[in-house]
Amino acid sequence: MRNKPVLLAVLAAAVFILGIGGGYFAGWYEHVRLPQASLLEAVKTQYGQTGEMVKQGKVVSAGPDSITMEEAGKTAALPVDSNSVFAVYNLGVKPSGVNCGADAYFKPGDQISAFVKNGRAVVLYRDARAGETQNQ
Amino acid sequence: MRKALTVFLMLLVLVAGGYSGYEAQGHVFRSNFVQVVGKRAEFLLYENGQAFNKDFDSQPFYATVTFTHDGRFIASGHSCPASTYNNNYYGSGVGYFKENQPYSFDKETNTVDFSFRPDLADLVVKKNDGGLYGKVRHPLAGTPVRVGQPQIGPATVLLSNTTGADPSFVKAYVVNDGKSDPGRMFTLVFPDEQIIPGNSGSPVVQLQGGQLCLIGAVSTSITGDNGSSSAGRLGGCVGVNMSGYIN
Repeated sequence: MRNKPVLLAVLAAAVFILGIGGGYFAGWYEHVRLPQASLLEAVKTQYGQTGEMVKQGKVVSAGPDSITMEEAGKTAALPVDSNSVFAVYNLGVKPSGVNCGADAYFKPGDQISAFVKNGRAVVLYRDARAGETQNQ
Repeated sequence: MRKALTVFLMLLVLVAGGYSGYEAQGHVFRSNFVQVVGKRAEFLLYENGQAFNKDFDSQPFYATVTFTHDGRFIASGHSCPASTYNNNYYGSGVGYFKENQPYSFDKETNTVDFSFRPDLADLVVKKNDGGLYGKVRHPLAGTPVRVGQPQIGPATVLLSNTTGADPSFVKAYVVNDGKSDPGRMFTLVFPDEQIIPGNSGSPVVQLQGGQLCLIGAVSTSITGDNGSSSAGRLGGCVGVNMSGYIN
């Protein structure tokens, strides 16, 4: 019986530590786990939508108003206009609003990535060709 | 009676311990730029590098990003030292805010104070010669992310009225990889037509290897470029090399 206060103190300390652990876990779950999961889920959902707009393939032909590309054996002609963005890795970007034909940036054989909306090329992107150093 | 009292006291101890443990989450941040606010919180905003805002004649343009010590992302933002339209408008666009104006700037203390805005009351931002800094007054949810370089492909701009809380998402597409001159800029194309003023400083994230990566902060508003009905909106975006800032 004389040890009862000591036992109570030890029990209280243990309960306090247990509480800290539980509270820490609750805080981690609320502040870390849930935001992470919800944000990841939302971004992945959005990526699914955006990813469907991305096409990868080889240029078959390029003209001022359209580009034709081959992706997985299928050929598609993509119209371009002054709002289309053309980009070449590490060399330059033709921003939206500038009038310039796709044939100034792309030629048959180029591997390109196209961002397509409603059948129109919003963005056309390719790596620099061997020896290509100047901005288009 | 005594047993009931003991149980009650233990419950109190349990609750006290639980509260302590819970409070420990999200409160304690660590940085090489440390300010102690209140009893035990340390706060930070990393001044993580210098980029250039092409809208202001290549004047230095500082981007900042906030992490907790365990890598949880809180907010991003930037300074606007070369503002030509308002000399007092130093602290532009603390990330995660849909609206970032107007707010007051104190020239003597170099402090931008959001406290008059109830929805922004968690954050006070301080501008000094090194960039834009912030002090987070209350624990924030934060989101675990790692830093990354912009890669061509889909990206997401996070927008929220309150720091770190329930951001909304704006679809975007990274056009170049940030390596082209002036080096730390990259361009975002927004496939959906939208004009979202006041989103400057908002964080841009990409999924890389299944993980969320913070790749930069918006340097201008997301606006239509020529008012046409076509898709493909351009917004300036600053991509800052943030590698190595989380250790």
